[in-house]
Amino acid sequence: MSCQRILAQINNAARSATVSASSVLPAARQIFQQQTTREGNGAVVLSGDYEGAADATFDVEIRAPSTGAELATTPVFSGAGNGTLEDLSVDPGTAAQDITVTLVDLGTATSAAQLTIYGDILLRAKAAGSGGNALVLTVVPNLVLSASAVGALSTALEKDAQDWTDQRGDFGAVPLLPDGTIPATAPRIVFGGDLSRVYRHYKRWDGDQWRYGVSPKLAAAYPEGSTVHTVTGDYSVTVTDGLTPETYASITTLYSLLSALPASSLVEVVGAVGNNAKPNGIAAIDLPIRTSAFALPIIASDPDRMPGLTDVSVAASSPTETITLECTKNSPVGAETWAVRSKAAGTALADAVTGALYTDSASIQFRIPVIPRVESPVSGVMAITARSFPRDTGDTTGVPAICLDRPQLGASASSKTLRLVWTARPAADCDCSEATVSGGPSSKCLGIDIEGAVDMGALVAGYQSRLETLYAWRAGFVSANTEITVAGELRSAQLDLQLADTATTKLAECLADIFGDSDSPASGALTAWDSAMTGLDSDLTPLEGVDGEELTGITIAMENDATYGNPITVGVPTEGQIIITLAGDKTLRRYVCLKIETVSGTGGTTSRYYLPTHHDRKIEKWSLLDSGNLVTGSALWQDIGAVAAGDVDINSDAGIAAQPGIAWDVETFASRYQAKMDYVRALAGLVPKSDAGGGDGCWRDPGDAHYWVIEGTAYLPVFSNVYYHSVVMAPNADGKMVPTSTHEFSFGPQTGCEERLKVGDSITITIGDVTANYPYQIGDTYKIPIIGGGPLSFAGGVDGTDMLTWAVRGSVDGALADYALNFDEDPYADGGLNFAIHRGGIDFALDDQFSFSVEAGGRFRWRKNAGSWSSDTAIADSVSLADGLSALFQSGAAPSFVEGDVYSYSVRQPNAPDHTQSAHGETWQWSGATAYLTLEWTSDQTISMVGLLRHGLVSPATISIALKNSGGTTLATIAPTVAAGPILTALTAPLTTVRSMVVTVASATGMSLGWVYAGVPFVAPYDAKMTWRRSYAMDRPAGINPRAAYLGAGRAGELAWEDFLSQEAADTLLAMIDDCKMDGDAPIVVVPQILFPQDAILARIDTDAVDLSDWYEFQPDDRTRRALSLTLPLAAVLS
Amino acid sequence: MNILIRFSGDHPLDIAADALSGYHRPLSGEVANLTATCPQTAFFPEWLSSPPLGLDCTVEVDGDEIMAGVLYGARVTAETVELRVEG
Repeated sequence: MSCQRILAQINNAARSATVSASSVLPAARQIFQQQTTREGNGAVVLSGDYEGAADATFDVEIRAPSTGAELATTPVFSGAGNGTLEDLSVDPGTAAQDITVTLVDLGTATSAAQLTIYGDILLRAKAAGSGGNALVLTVVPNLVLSASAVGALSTALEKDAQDWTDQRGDFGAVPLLPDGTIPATAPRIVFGGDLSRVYRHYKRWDGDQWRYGVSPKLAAAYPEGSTVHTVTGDYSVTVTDGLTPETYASITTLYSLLSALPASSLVEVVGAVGNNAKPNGIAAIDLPIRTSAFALPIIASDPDRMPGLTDVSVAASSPTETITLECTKNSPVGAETWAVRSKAAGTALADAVTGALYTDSASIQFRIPVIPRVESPVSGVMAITARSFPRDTGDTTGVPAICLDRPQLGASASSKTLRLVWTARPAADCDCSEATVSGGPSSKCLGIDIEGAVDMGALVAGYQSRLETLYAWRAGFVSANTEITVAGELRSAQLDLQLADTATTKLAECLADIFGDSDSPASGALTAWDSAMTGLDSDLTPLEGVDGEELTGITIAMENDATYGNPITVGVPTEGQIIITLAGDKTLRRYVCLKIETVSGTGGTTSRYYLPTHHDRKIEKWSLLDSGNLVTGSALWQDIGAVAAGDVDINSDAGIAAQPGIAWDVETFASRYQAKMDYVRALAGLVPKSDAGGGDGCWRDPGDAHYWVIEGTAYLPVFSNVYYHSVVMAPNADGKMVPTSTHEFSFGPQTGCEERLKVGDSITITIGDVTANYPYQIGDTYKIPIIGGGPLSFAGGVDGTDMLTWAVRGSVDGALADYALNFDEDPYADGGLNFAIHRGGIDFALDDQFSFSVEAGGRFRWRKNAGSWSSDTAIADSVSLADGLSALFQSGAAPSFVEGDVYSYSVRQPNAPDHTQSAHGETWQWSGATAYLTLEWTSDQTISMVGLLRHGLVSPATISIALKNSGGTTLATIAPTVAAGPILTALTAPLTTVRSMVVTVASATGMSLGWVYAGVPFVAPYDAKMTWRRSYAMDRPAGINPRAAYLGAGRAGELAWEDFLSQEAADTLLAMIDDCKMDGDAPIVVVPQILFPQDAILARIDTDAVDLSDWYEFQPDDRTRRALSLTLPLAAVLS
Repeated sequence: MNILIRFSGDHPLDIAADALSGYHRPLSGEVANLTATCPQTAFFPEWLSSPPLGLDCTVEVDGDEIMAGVLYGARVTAETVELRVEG
């Protein structure tokens, strides 16, 4: 007999035993639900770890319902929202019916006020509700332009431009950092002085050239020539609810504001704020918000010629509009007149004047710059082109020499021809101005009524009271300076009255100016006016009354100078002396001696002097003579007017010896009041008048007997040797005709030998080639676009009810109580229904609906392995079945559970004890450290070897195997040592009455036991030739010396019987091979030497074709005589 | 090497596999996939007649999850059951 043994399933009695175990490790996640056909939409889930000893099937069948255990189906939702109806339960006894829960009223939702400040950046009030609508955000820029421009645009920049390659657009740009962000050193610039748009200036290399850019992109178009300034400073942002303002200072970028706002208790920034310093990023743009009105770049009609406006200041509350300035009068140069048009102002605005700060608009202040004049704006030719001095034959008078001195063209000059005719002055006793005209101009008759003309009744109190004071004083003064004598003579102090009238006019004009500008002028101005009024009264008090002194004069023995024919008298004049003498115009006039001047050298003692004859109210110097008619000095005499001999000077109460340089005319004296009124106007914020009124001072009548009349024109006459400006008589503001310049021309008529002129002589002056070149042209315009401002207001805050009303309806119970769902989401309970609705991320909408059904109480039954059914059991959420399993009932859409529906499951037990009967590697696992496995047979078994061929036992596990007979008597007890590989024990003698075998493992927590052997192994008559082989399973790729993956190792080899295998042994062997192949190529265990079972080899038969040969070529007629050969290759079972 | 395919669902399942093949996980987030070869004994024939295609599952190797996906296909041969998982 061979020493070799082969253990296989075919000789293993354990395969046919009944197996049981003390415990089985429960199987988790091994329930396979089988397909079944059913009507209900509910689900039944088997839950729990399976504790059964073997694979099993479970069936659950729905049975006829009964009352008292009603169920609700799973709610089905239809609509827009994504909220849920949860915690649905039904009280016992509730009628089976369909339930709908429908949203019928959305209520109003509470929302927080919010404000979009830039792009999609949103600020939101922290407190929800309408209170947030009171929040406002105000930005106060604290920006300062550089003192001088850093450049000017060589080409226009279009709106939305981001960058350009023109180097002329580099105003100090700095390169971007390597990460594409704008450095903090990038200059902040503005174009055209427009502080409403501040840009950061950078440049980047695009691979070929620098590109110069701004961040953000241009918000407006900027014309060529726009100045470029750098800007410093920051912004101050205030957020307030009207009660608690929060101010954030030192804000520069939008990012800096958004970074500061988290500290606010009023608002919050919605969304994340990123520190994006790349171009256009919020950390690379100046705060783009303006809440005050501002002006966009001002558009000049001819920007090449017209400089930009200066001192532009926009009122914070200015409305959005474009204010237009149009030049309506371009002279005088430097003080051009501009019409200011503002639709939003509602009223006509005063004209602006070049060089003066314009303050008449409530929206804007500005100054139109003066364009320096380098030459006269008007040029042309003016010359005498013809002279006519007709003389009779024999007339030896001769002709004068006339030429033009410094001819000059004025602002309104035009080409024309002037014919000047030497004309005698009309007789003084025929003065048209002295004629009385009844009536006056009527606006109504002229059709020039002005609506809303001011009447006294509309005067403000302060204005009217002062007018009353002024004119009351004037009335008193006039009364005091006029009288009717006893003899009935009308007497009036003409000069005093003229002085009073002039002063009154000045004060009245001043009042009109300051109250025309404002109903409440500056108090300082009014105080000054009142002071001037008091001063006037005080000054002129001495002049009140018509009493006067006799005119002082001297009765002079006149004689004519022998040489020149001038009157001369004997004596010495004294300063302050007043004399009456015959003037050159044959009138008797008074003269006052202002000053005596002496000369040294030639003359002796003064004894006589020339009498003055001038009659122009001026001062002239007349010589003093000694007895030899040598000049000893001179006296300055001033003509103080014509008088009749014996008159009384009622203009003064005493003779006055004035000092030299004092004018004795009324108008000059009245200038003292004009000066005071200019001061009053200045205090009132008004520009003082530059002209004293009563004419523009461009023309004076020297009183000559003859003058040149410019024929056919309204020009006032020209006096020889007196410089002349073109002047006509025109009404002033009071309607009084006064000399008024036409701004056309001027010249000095230099006349030699004036005495040769005769009436009718004429010269012709031609003005031609007139051209004008004014700094500003009539029609020039500036357009000032103003963007209105105002705090940014939060909006959208609503105080809502936040209540959703759901109508609950049952198909049987009808309307149930409504479900009022607020944010507390309190549960609903009525009509036996209990549930709660929870809002979802998507809001509910009207008519959103949940529907479910109340179903009569369901019942079910179950069975295992197609055994007998359980009794009917009420359906509940969880019902315990068996082997650790429970049935979980989950309702679905109605109907959930329908009678007759069956739910089937297959449950695997991967740790089943009967796995010890398989040779393929399945195992039995147990709970705890100790377990035992029992194999029982119904008949006596012969067993010579037992073993644990496949296992997962390791030290310190121990094994004990007991073999028992039918009476339970232990026939043998074996305690093999745990070791890797098959654990085999050969009994010393075969046992033939074995009925059971008990394998006990101890200290074996988490271990497993597989293929168990108990039987009589195959043994051949003779040993086979045997080869052992250690086999490895390595998975390696292609290539040279590849590293391989180790998959496992085992023992293999080969058994070869050569010529000594009997037919009987061969039959047994082939039967074993057949059994192995039919069992899925089940492995076998080969024991090379029965004395050394530890050498056992677990292997598979590594061939699917076994050759069998007979040394006798199968020729013997007796099968037992065959000498067979068979080779059995073995493949390792890897582990 | 212990390979386990773990299915979710009302009745979670753990299926032991003998081998993996075709495991492929692209770099850019495209679909990963693998094929697990399982012994027929791990299943019930009834279950294999309608495998829960599309059911979420994970694949673990020695306790480490290597892929999460869905059951994309099942192929049953005389020897084995091949489960295709895509993730």
